[in-house]
Amino acid sequence: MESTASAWSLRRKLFGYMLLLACLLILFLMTAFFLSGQYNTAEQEAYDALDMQMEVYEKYVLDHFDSIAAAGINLSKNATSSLEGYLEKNALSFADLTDNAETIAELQQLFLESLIQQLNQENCSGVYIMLDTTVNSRLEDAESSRACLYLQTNGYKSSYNPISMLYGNADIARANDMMPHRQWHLELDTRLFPSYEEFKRRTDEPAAATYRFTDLFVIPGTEMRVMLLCVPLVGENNRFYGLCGFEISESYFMSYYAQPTKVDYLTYLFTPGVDSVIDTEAGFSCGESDGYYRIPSGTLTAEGLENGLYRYTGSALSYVGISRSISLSPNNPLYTLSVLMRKSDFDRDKTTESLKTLLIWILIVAAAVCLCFYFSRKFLIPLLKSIERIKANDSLDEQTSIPEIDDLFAFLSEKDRQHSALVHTLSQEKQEMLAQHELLKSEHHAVTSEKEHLQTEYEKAQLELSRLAYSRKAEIDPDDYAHFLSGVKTLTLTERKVFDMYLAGMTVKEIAQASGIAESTVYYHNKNIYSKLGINSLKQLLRYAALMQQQEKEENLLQA
Amino acid sequence: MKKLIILFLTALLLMAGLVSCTQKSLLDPNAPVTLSLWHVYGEQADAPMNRLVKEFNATVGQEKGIVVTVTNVTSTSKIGGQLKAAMNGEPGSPEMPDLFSAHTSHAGLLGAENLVNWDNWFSEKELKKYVPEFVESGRTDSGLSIFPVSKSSYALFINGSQFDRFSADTGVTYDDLATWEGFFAAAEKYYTWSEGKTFCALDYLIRHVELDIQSKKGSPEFEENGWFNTDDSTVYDSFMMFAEPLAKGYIAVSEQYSNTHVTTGQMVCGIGSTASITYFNDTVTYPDNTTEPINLRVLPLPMSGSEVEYIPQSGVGLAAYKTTEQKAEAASVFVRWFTEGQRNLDFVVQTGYMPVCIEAYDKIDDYAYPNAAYESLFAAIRIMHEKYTAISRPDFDGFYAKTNTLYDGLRQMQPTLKQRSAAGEDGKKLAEEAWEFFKTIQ
Repeated sequence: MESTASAWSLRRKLFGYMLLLACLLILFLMTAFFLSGQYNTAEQEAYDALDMQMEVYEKYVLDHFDSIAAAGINLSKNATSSLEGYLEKNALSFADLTDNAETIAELQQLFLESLIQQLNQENCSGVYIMLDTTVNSRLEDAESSRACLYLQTNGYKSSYNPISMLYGNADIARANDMMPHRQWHLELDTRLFPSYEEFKRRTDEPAAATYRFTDLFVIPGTEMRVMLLCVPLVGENNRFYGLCGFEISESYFMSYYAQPTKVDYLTYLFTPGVDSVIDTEAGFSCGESDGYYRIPSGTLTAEGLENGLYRYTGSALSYVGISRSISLSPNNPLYTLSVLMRKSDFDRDKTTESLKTLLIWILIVAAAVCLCFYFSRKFLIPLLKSIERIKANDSLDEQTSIPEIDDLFAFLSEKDRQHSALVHTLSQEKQEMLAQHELLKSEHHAVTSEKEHLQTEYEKAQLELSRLAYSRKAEIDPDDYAHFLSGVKTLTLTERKVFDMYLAGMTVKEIAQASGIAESTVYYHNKNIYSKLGINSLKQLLRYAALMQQQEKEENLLQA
Repeated sequence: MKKLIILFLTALLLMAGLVSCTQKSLLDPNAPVTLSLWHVYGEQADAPMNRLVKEFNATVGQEKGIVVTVTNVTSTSKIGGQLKAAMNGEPGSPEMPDLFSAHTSHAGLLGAENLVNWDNWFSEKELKKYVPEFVESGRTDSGLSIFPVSKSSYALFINGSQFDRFSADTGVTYDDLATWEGFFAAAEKYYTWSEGKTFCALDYLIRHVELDIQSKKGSPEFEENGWFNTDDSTVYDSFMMFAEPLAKGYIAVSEQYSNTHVTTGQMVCGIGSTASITYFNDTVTYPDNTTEPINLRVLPLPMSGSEVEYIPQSGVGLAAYKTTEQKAEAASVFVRWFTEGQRNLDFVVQTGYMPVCIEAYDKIDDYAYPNAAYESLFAAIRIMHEKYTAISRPDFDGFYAKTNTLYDGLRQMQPTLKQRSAAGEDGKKLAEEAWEFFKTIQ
């Protein structure tokens, strides 16, 4: 019998259960992903990526500035030592250097090799030693003009990276095959260092306590934006000799700090201060090591997003990223490091991620449904085929690949055989029964005929009896008959039996045999019966009894 | 039904034809392509080239999805070796740039087949906008390998403040410097006036020798070893024309570049590339830290007095390393933008070069120069453009190295020669020593 659509077939049930199982597994999978942190939102992924970049960037910056500071302090010690050694050797005091161009040039020559070495060794774009003296104290700006040897490279990573002299004696540059910078000057203006006077005051403190980095500034006459480490040169008796340090230029920062990253167009900022408004032009920036970044311009306003991310809105470009504050030295205000990705990229990633996630889950669900369908079908097909074979009464002796089905077939075959045997037996019995039935039927037919004959005879007898009763009725005395009727009611039980047996046509002998009594006893009862009924013979008894029965029959008919 | 299918297929073919005719750009503003650039326009950072690169990135680059990043600023003499090292992946060498300054000898060094053929990216109509000789000078067997960007020549740069004092005392004028004869006479007078100071530093002395030979007898002869035929008397005469004043200390081969001698007050003038104007400071700083405005005056190269006056023509163009079609397209966009008429003029004015775009020459007269020095330079360039014939330098392999050997030797010799001349030795004999050295170069 075919299953109806509303009924849950075996296949539907199995498919339903498998789908339920698949849904539960997917749910567990999702929960596991969530709990193990494998399933992240685009914001979380962006934060993780940027945070990792920030970790590297922060470490890089702190290590770099720390090592530069250490090298600067070391340079200060060595330069101070060389200076004092030179002064002692030439029996000069530091004050003797003023207006002494030749001696200052000699000192610069003395410093030169060390500075070139430092410039090549340290991660910087320039190095300088400035002495608190001048070759010409008679000039108008002599107070702020200080003898300085300042060497610089162009900041690009290249095997050929020529050193130029930004400040210093040009003859020394030429003699050492070094180009004076196109904005070369003999001396440096100390007004570039707002803290210069403070350095002069704090000579009783160690260099490690007083060193600092300048803010970013543009070297006069150029477009180079640089940041300088300033370490005081302090000699015996806390005598201030000048400053030394290293330069980090904008192009050097851009080249040195460029980092490998998988985030497209990542931008790193290094800006002074800690504020929600970042002035990008007051700091440095860089991008990925082998790719592009667009140098931010103007200010960026930070606004918190989810998962620790910030949105940085600018007039030209907006970004998404994270910021951290760092301390460069005990004497510098905090700086802010920012790692930014373009907001348009972030938005695109977010949309892509959402679509990807949606697609993945759609695929998983679709795959689950298809697999459930396939496997439920695959699983049930042999079963259904077997059922079809059973339905089609195919041979069940053939082996299938499923032992349970084979067992079932074997069982069914056995049952089939037993059933056949039973059917055969029953069939035989049925044949016998049919034959017997035919016999009985013929007997019944004979009996029925006999019965009909007897019935006819009986009806004839009844008719005769009625006729006789009718004919005898006139011959009977009504009083005797009335006495007879009332006497019947007075008969004892035994007498009644005997009376009825007379009515049944039985003889005395038959009554004695039927009742188990002696004939004499029957005669005894006859005597009592005759007495009570007011009759004197059996013939009279039978005549009155036939009339009585005839009357009762007629009364019954009337009542019916 | 059949008709419908034929109609549909025809429409499909037409659409495919249209699509193939309209060449689709490989550039995407949302996924910018990065071009690394090495150039020679100012070894010191933040040169005008870098500013233009920034401008490009912020405008056309942003619009089309191109970012040019300057990863090295070097010099013409060094870039060939650096490119070769980068291409061979030598230890310590940076990545090979996508775009770089180069001249045709560099194309040979790197293999012209490895460079983008600009003919594939510029139509003939577009190329007609550029000075034909400059375009032709960038051609190799593989096509237009070097795209002209700017050309330079030599000029005489004078510290006006100092020269004016010298002029007031001696009567020597700028006009006297119009010929080599007048120039050397002025140099001698300056030597006397300044009590032994050298008048002028020459960056490329051999080029002047070469031009003098050219004006006297035509193209100089070169030996198989790539050096001048020293048996040629014209070579000797031309060399001695410069060697004698050098031996006497009137002129000198510059230590690095002549501008440093001028800006430090060591010499009153220098002859160098027109592009060296970017290296001149606004002031001259003397050893006692006194300064004065330089009042830079720029004059054309002194004339030889021959029928045809020659000036050297040099200058690199831009070549692109062949990588991807997308980068080649991006490079062509940058080069096209960079050499547009007005921008080309802006660039050459800032860098002291001659423009390569014909349109730029039309505007050069009316240009608002940043200062008098630049105006003076371009006045000199105009004169040289009108009265001189430009010739390219010898471009065979190894010639640069030989000239450097000459300069190094002369630099070593010149203080001694000057000293000996001051002590009374004959200048011509001293110059012969320099000639002997000249002959030793192989």
